[in-house]
Amino acid sequence: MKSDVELVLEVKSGERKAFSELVLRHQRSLLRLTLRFTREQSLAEDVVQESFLKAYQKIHLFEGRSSFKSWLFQIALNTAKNRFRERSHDSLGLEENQMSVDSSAESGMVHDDIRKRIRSEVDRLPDKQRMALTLRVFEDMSFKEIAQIMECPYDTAKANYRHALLKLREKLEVDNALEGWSEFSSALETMWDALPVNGTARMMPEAEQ
Amino acid sequence: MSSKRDQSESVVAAGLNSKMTGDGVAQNKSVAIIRRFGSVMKDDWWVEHLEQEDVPLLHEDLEILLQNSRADRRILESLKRTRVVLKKSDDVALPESGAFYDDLHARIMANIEAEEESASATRSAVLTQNVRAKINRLGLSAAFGSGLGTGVLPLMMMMVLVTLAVLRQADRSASAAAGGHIEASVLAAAYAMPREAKIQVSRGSVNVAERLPEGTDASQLLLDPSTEGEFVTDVVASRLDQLPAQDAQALIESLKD
Repeated sequence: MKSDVELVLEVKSGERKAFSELVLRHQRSLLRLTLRFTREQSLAEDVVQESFLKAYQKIHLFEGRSSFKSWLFQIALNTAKNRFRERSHDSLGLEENQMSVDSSAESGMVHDDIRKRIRSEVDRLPDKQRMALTLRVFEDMSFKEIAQIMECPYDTAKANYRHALLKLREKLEVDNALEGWSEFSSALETMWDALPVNGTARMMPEAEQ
Repeated sequence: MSSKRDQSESVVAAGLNSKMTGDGVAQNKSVAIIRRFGSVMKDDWWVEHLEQEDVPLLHEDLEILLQNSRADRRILESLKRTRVVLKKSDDVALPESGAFYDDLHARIMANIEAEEESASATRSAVLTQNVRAKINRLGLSAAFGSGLGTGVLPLMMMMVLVTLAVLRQADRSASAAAGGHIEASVLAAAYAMPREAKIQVSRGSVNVAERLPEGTDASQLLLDPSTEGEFVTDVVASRLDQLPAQDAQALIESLKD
């Protein structure tokens, strides 16, 4: 299978079919990203289409210093921002934008109220912090990739993420009284302890608890 | 709420641990670490630790703190919990149907095709306009209208070529001064295109990039319409003398339309 970079070279030499392959590879992850920020499927689809079009038109500017995916995500986030500006919104992901939720996936999610509360807190974060947090936690991206997408230095990407996580922790701890939260967080604590880190379980010594 | 209270607790806890267990080395080191760095940055350290982004030296220190300070463990655990809750709160539901993605893919590629056609039409229009303007400026259409097929043609052709050569030089300088998009090497390659390719380019039926020799870096050639128009004029002007009369006439007629 050809790499993204090989396909990009083919597109640059006039092979439109190679771009079609790049679309097939990345359309799903791009839709997921844009859906996360736009919270509206039709708008997210528009942003995806426009982003791929821009990527095709500007492919000669892609020099391979970042991955094609990072470059594409960067275009998509800028496109989404522009769309929001056009719609007279001043930031991404406003609360009135309702995200489509698949009810069949409900069982694997946190309680609906808690989820809404968390989403609301995430939405209140400054755009850059929210972007760094979203890319790290939900898209599992490295800070290098995040820095490329956000067009900022590596340390700035990390700082944005750090501020976001610390703020959220503070907010969520304040909301500890939220119905169902304590019960849920205990369950999570148990789950977390069972997660392996560096090959060992995260259980703390009982005597020190 | 963790930060300040927990941070001072961590100093105490580490100190207590050290006294209670009597295990001198590690515990004393944890107290030393806390004293050395203070508490201001500790939450930040734990975030770095959580993300496995901490520097190796600090990583070791933090591991010692974790073993000896309940408060520090609490800070780290609260951060982990926040991250897990956040991750679990993900409610983006993507369409699962393969047909949806087939359709999305088709729409994306159709957009690209439509945009390309539109851009090509715009380029052709600008190109034709530029070339026609230059032809009119030189009185070419009148000359060729009556001159082709007669003995006047060679003389007219020579006059035209001399005039256009002067213009071409001026255009190229202007283009370079304006940061023109065509690189010299690409331009040279384009000039070396086969004759039929030049006719096609001149007629606007293909763009320059499509007809460049294989291996030419077409990314250097941004088809800025005005630059392309000037280029094609150059091609027409510089190679007109090598075209058979029939091709030259066809070319001029197509540019007059």
